[in-house]
Amino acid sequence: MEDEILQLSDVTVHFPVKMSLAQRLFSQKSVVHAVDRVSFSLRSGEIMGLVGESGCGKTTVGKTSVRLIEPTSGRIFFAGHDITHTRGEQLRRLRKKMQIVFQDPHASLNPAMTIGEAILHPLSIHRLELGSLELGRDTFEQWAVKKVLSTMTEVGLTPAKHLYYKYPGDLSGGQKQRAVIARAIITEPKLLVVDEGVSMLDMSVRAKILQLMLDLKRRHGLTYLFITHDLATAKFICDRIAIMYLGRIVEIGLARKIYADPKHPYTKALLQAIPIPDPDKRHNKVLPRGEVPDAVHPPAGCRFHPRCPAVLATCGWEGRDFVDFLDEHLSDPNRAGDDESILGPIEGWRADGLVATLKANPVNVEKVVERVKAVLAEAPIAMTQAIESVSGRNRTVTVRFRSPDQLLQTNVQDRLVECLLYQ
Amino acid sequence: MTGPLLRVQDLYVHYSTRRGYVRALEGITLDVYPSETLGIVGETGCGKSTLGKAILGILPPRTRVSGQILLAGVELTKLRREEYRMIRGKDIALIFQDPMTRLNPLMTIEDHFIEEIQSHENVSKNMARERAREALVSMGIHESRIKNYPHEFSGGMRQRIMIAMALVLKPSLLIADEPTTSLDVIVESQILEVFHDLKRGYKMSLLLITHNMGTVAEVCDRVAVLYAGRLVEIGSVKQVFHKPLHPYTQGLLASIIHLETKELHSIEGSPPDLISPPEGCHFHPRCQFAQPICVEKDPPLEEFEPGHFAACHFGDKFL
Repeated sequence: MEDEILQLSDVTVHFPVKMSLAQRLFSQKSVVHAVDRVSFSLRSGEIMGLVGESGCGKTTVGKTSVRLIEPTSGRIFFAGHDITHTRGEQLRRLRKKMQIVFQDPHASLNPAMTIGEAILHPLSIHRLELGSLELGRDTFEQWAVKKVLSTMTEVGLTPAKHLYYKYPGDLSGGQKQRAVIARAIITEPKLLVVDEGVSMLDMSVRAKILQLMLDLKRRHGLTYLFITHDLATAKFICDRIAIMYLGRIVEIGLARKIYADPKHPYTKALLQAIPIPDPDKRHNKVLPRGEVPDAVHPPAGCRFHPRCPAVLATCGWEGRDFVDFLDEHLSDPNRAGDDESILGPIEGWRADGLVATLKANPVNVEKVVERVKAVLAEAPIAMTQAIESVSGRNRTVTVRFRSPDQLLQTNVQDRLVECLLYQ
Repeated sequence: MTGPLLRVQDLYVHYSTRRGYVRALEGITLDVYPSETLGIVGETGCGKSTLGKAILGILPPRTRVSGQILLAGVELTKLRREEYRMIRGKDIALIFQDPMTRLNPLMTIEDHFIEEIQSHENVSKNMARERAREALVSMGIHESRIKNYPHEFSGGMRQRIMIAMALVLKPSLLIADEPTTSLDVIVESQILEVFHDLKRGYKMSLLLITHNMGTVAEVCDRVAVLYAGRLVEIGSVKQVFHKPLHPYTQGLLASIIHLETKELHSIEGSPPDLISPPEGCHFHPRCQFAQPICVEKDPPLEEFEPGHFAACHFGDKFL
């Protein structure tokens, strides 16, 4: 499309895990699956929210979008041009059109540079491209300082002439974030990635910075990729949102539709978890259990399935889900009884893909199989249904799961959802 | 109602800096009753963390402190360091914002517990270990993980471990300073549930220091609002949220961004420099209702309805 400013197509970013020499020799190479096959596009002038918990890959998507990270695979288009592997001088020229604002304004500003110098810095970096046409009779420095002062005024850093000579340490948190935004917009970018840009600010200041971002969008037709974990802020500011979980977009669409009627169980959970500032609305929440798993070995099938309150038998159950369940079962003294002596110790179990195995004493194999079946009666019904067989042969007890159904992004009421419930 | 467990009376804390004294707290008076959860809210630099530190007696040296802090009748500010140390951990426990920086990476969870318990009670290692197990299990952490190191746990689990450690000596007062700020929404919600259960399970008072009004609405019984080192409003959560009397509280509540937010609100200006705060009501330069009297006279903390106090000359106008 013509007015698409940014497009990510099947972008995957994997980070290598640091390993010792011995590990490198004897084990498979492991990677952090930070982002897996993520696709979306931003139209000019829109605000798209990228929402999720820490470790879901939202920051990696942001950094990859402005090419601070080169994707492992997939393509990135900026204003119609493929920038996936752009390098050097060309990339530098691109940068003035795409800027990023980070969470901590204090860490983003050099303490030894005055606010004015900091905001002017991008102008001197991009000097050639910017200066040549507009300079007129001024020298570059005169022109640049004027531009800095007008930008400072525009973002509300007033009186600009006075604040120009201040150091970051002299400014409040809100003022620092204004300075960071001024520095980002001074090159007149088309795209601004804002990574948790208001999260560290106090409530009363947060609203002002959001208002500033909305004003800038209106005046300059800026396009934002707004990365946040705060669903309430995202709801207020975003036209569209994408909910991320463990490197995947699980739901993406118009913000008002998603908030009015979330489809993916993870989106529902996130919305429910937000504290409501009204003591009359205290309610019992149904929260997903546990925490986000390790992105080195993301769960099979739908990555949310081990925690999902609406999980189905076909969502991706695998060997380690059984081992995790058994671990939990054995550690509950009320339920375990003598299971520990027959099924334990838990360290004896091995999970590999769809199967979990236990090396058992040959006389015991039958007994273990019986007991596994008994214990499974207490497991979540979806998991029990997903089991293909529990068998004992020779010295090995094997619990085997069925292959999961293929997960596809499905169009559900004007949005894309990646969940078997809607397939 | 029985008497308060903690009574803070006319507490002043002034930090000494090169530029002069920072008046972090100015005349704070508040009570915490047995088994109640009191929220302390305010923005960065309002003195809420200083209040927590003052109660625990962990203010930096050369800080000027005056006023009284009474815990179950014992005057804390007069205690010698050794005596304070016996109370800290045993009677008053603390949970910090970032559990990772408060756990020693070279010590197992078990070692942390044993050190904590044995520094207060004369019990054997085995006894201590047993109690550590119980505390961990009560927080939903499997006892087999007691020999693990802090880095082997997730953020939410570390915070649960911190809570378990704080509870193991059965303190009467727990101070939690932004306990969920570094956690994700879902984990935050899980930890708040833990606090809920604690109130029911243990007869313990909780002082919850936070900037998140949503958290306060969900777990607190009463709430105290601090602005520029002063207590500007205190009352039950319902009173303060439904009928805020102080213009600062009103501004703070209006500026929350929640799911129903249709319009952005903010408070004009920024908090004052606490080295030379404004005369009269500290909030007057930012207050849309300010009158000449607000500049001249300090508003005292007055009771406008039963249990609902505010420090505003015009508090009755907002009733």
